[in-house]
Amino acid sequence: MLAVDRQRERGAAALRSVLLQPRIDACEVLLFDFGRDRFPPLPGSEHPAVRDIPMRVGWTIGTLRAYAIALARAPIVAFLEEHSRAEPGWLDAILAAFNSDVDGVGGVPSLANPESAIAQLAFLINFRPYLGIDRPVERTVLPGFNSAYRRSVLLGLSSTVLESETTLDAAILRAGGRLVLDPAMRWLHTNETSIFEVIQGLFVWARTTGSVMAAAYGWPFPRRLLRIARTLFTPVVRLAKLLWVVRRSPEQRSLVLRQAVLFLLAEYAQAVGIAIGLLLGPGDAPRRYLDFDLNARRGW
Amino acid sequence: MIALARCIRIAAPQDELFRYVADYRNALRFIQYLTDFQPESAEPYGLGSRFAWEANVRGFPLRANFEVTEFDPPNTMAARTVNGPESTCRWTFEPCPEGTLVSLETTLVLPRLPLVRLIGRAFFERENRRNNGGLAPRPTRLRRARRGCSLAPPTVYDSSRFFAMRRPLREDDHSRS
Repeated sequence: MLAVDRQRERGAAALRSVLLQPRIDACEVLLFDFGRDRFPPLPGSEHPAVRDIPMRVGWTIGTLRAYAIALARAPIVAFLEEHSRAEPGWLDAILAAFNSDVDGVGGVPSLANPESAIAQLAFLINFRPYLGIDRPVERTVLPGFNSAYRRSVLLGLSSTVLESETTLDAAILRAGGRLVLDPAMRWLHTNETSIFEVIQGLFVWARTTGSVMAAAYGWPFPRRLLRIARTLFTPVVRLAKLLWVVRRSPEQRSLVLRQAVLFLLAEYAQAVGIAIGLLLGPGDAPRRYLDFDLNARRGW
Repeated sequence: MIALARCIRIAAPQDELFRYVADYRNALRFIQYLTDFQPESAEPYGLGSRFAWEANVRGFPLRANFEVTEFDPPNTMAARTVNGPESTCRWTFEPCPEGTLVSLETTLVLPRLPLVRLIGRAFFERENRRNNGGLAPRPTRLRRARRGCSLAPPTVYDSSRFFAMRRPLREDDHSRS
């Protein structure tokens, strides 16, 4: 499943990377095109494996995913963001992984725009837990919005749970499912190249996640306050953890130290987003997040 | 402008569902809060047909006229208001393995006054969350679990539940047509 809007060139590159996979003819690519009323069809959408679905307004990541899962005719649903690109072997790795009794598979990402220091920092913030894996390992959370799941498992989940990987993966685990991170499933991710974009993205994502966590887990008000209190310390703890992880890589350590203030700024934007989501609910953050995800410039 | 989209899977054929939704006599059955729905054009079905509706949303009376602006059976139907609150709605019907996937995209332009906008937005969002954007019952209402997420109930509704999910037609509803 791939959704595109105004970033046509980037979306076409993502679609091309999927269509170049060797066994793509046995698959169906659900292409959700939010820009269809303003742009010509996306290059590659004429491929017989592509089901091109014009979309309009009002969708969130969760409702769009619910829509995609319901439409899908295959037993496995793989999500790919329009600013990501599948690397060779991506599809084979997914199909091979689902030969065992796993319910979700995530891959190991690489940074598509390493020339930007901000992108490097954002990449570390978002994907650090998934790096440095050399064999399949079980995980409790998979890389957000770029993983693959069994359709039968996803069908039972509400669009609220589908808004965030945090709740999606937790729901699968609670139902007794298994999630695996497989380094053979490689993909590239284009990160934000300005601190404003990083903060904006993290804030709307965090507000969405905070609100869906509270709803999905049924947290009472005191529990939410406790979570907020914990959130206040999270940025500092994460910076310390990150410095520990990169201690043997002088290049990465230097990057983190140089960008420590920006790192804390971004992490606190996330913490504030979580707190507002827990206290006030999602507001229009879920829709703003989808809009951000599809249209943020990311240096393009 | 506020925009909302929702979808629901219904175990019924696509054309049957399209006919049901496109038939204005059924509107009172499945559109939340409607109190009256009357054709205004000579042809009450298809592109260009016009209707007048009245609704009562938690005590707030609303009234508007709208026109069907897109009509592509059995795939899509869209409408926009021609007076009253500026809004649009667009229904799509897609076949899916379990039947038909019905989606509804709605937009609403709120008054310019900031306070009214703020309250209106919060109210609209809340009401839409409660009734799944007009596609109530919520397809996958979350069960509140004491610890962790619970799997929500299946999202497939059989056609009889969808057709009957609002109050039954009053005896005089059909006579008005």
